Amino acid sequence: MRARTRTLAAAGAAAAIVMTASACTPDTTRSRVEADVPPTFVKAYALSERLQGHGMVRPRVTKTECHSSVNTVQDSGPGSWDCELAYTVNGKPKKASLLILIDSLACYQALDGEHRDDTIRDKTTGATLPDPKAGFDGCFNVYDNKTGTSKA
Amino acid sequence: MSITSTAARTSTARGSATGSRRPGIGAVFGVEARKILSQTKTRAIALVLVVAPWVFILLVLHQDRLPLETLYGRYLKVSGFATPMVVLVAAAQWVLPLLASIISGDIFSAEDTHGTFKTILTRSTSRSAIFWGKTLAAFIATSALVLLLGASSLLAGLTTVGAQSFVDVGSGELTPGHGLWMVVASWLSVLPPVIGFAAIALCVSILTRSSVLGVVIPVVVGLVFQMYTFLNAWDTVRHSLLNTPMNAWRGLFDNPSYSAPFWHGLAVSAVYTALFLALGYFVFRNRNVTEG
Repeated sequence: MRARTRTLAAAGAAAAIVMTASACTPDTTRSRVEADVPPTFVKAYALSERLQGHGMVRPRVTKTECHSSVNTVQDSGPGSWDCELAYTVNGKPKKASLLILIDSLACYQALDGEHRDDTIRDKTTGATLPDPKAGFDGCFNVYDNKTGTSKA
Repeated sequence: MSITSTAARTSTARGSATGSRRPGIGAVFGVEARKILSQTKTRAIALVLVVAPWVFILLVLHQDRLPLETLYGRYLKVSGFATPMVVLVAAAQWVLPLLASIISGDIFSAEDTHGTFKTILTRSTSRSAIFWGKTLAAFIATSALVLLLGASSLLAGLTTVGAQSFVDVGSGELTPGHGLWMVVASWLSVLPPVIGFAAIALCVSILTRSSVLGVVIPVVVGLVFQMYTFLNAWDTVRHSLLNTPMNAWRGLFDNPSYSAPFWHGLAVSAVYTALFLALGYFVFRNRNVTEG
């Protein structure tokens, strides 16, 4: 009986230590945001071009820098983030400033501040739609090893 | 230990020995399933679940603005597959726990309300068969209602918008076939946490013997979980809440996909289900039948 109590106590203590240790790593980190936003932007851009009947156009992102507007010290946690993207389309350099609204379930809505209300015409259906590259959704894996909160 | 519960155990043991003629889980399940299907509340809920997605998408199509702040909201006019996904995102917050509670929260306590426990517990069916038959009926009915909402949303989207190519969570394009698979798999993936909520409702129903509490408490638990999710608090705690697995499908359909949140959510759902079923079973087995 005493041995079982001791085992249970040890298991409880181990669980508490694991929980406390893992609680120190936030789900939303700068590494995860900077790893996920650029490829999602590329796919949203390509979707926008395809819907407008411009064929396959894929930008190449050359630089990404994202920072939390909520937790500016640690650059982590849900809330609003600002991402600056530099990219090229057919060799022409361009820039995008995105407001990333990240929820606590590690998904986000990205909005291009200047163009957030832009619309496009779907060439196939003729419908007027929000421009996918001016606003897109994304999610990232909180169980990966991209735990870095700052690239310094 | 009460005389009645001792007698019940003796009766159960004798029943097990004599054997095969006793109605088992299947018989109880059949009775309970028919009971659930014939209830007005079940039919009314089913009607609402069928009609609501149609009303939603028709309203969206007749306005200029789209719910851009909701996952997949911006694609509601692009592809019919967006409708069931937006409905799933919204329903996961409180509708699905509510469905689980309404069906499972009174399946045991209704017997208390009508004073019929004494009758069924003294019949030849074992307590174990009654518990598992009722539990199975509640879980299957709850799952059926969830899938009914998903099917109605899909049909509404495909009928009003069409089966155009769709996008995954990371804006990658999907063929209509892959879009359909994504919708079906996403709705199936929320069943384990919904069953977890149903297990909580069953347990509360047995413990409190009150249908009101059986329905209300799991919904309140769901809301508390939801409120914690909104807080910027410990992420580890959030991972262990039952509403987090409701969103695990997002990783499965990201590009590249990742399954860790799904498997973690499955484990969390299994723990909640096992824990509350075990507690409910223990209390039900040892219940004093003379109390009603």
